[in-house]
Amino acid sequence: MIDGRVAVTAASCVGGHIFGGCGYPAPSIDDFFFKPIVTIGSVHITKPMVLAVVAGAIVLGFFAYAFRAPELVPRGAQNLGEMGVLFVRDQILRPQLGKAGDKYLPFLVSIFFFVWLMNLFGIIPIIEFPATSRIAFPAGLALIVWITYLVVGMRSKGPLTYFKNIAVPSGAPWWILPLLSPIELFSNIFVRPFTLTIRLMANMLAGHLLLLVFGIASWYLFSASIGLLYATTSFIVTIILTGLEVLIQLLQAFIFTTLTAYYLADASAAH
Amino acid sequence: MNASSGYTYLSYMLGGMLFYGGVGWLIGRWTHIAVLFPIGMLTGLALAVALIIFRVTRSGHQDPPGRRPPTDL
Repeated sequence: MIDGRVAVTAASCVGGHIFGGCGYPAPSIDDFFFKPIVTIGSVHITKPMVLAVVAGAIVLGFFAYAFRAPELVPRGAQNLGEMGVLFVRDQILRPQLGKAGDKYLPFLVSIFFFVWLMNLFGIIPIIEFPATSRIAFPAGLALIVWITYLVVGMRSKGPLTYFKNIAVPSGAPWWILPLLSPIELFSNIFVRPFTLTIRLMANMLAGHLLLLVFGIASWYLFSASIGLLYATTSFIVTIILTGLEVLIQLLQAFIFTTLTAYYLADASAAH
Repeated sequence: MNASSGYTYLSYMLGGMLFYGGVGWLIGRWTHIAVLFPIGMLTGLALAVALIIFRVTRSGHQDPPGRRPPTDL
């Protein structure tokens, strides 16, 4: 990828380094668009699509394998699987939904590990692309969450009561309600899925760009002179930022799932 | 009045600006008064703040115990 970039930046450019007279091949939004790997009919299969399918397959395969023959005293993969499920239950589901929300556990576990794995692809060598930085994946997930909490809300209270609940803000005097209820309705129905999507996508996109900036710079600044110092510094920063990314990827998956749980709780709770 | 308050209030402010900004923009297009768009946005923001104040001070709405707000963006 780097060689391809450098070739187009300057004619008198040697090796793609700074002292070879080359310009810095800055990463851009183009790095998030891929040439199709294969084309079936009119469907172009690209890297992010493959990554999403792989992530789904890994989550599915792992949990199917871990709980294929569950034992009372867990060993090996079952142990790990139970740790994952219990983490989602105790840290995400129970604080929001309480014990009654345990029926949503499979949904939340799937979302959490699917999102986390797609994020994690951003720092795995060779793959190095978080599928969630393409907006279609967070948007699709947010759509599923959106439909789920609307259906849950309508089923638990009846459609009319539910829409009254999400359209009429509690605590406001009656004369200002006509002005305020559009805001309440708008923020409950449109803003929620939108922010859920953007938060995940923007965080992953920014993190990937940041890693690209310093990763490419470590190559670009490299030379047998003082450039070696620059390149080493840039490389160390890349490693530190990778560590930061690990944290952010986990955090974003956590927040996505926590907000899903909160929306479900908000939809099913009696006001 | 504690669970996920930050997110709820953030989405009120966004929702207020989007909705009344949109209304202002439409009326501005209709009447060719461009300034109605920013006025609409500010109105929406003000109304959203009013809504938040009403919810905080007057609703008496209690979230079920044990619910915890998401802590981070």
